[in-house]
Amino acid sequence: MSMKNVDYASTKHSTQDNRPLTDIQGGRKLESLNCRPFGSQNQERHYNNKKINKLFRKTACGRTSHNRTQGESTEGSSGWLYSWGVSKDGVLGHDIPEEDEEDFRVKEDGALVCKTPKLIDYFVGLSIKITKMSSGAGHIVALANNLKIYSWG
Amino acid sequence: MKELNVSKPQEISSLRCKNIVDIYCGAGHSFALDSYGSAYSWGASADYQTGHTQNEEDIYAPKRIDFNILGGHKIKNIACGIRHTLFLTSNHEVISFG
Repeated sequence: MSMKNVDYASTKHSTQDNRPLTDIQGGRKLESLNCRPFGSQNQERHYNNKKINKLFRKTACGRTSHNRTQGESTEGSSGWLYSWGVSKDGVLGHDIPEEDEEDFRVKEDGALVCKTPKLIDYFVGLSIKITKMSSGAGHIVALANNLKIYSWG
Repeated sequence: MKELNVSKPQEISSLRCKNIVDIYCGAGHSFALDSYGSAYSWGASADYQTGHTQNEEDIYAPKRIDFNILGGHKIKNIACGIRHTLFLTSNHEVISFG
């Protein structure tokens, strides 16, 4: 697990953020402890411990063979899908930069890691909102508001 | 397993107009549940986690679950483990395979 819920009521928000959430993340805001193996004491891996300043409706975690995690989330009201974590087998669903980019970092073993939630622009370009999604070890399946099923990874 | 990775979302066109209401992923297999209480599955199948009886390592396209293994009941909910799957049926039974 790479994510931790913090109590929504105990965190401060700007007024536009302060709207009710639905589904399993209801009333809670997501904090990312990205790419940190559960129970690990290795602080070097714990490089992205910051609150994700978006309200999410639903989250799903995958898992790579190296026991790191990747996350995918839909945002509360918009239905856009975000992904972050280890970029392996195309699981993140967005273009991988060829050059160094601020949002990405290369791990010791050469794997590329997306440090912050990045919008999957494929769906934005087609104006497709995601209503449900689920994540496997190396693939993601998403159900869209046009009732079509999409998969990648 | 054959490497068929895609880095951009691709529509699974065979599930179009099937009234899919929910989707579930195991480590390598996937289920789609429709509004009539039947399910489609595909993906890694070496441990029979897709619920199809034939001995195939991978199923490359969604296949409908045979209602015989459900005793004619509808599927209400699905949970996928890494290599197993649970169905909750309309008569409150739990069916496990994989």
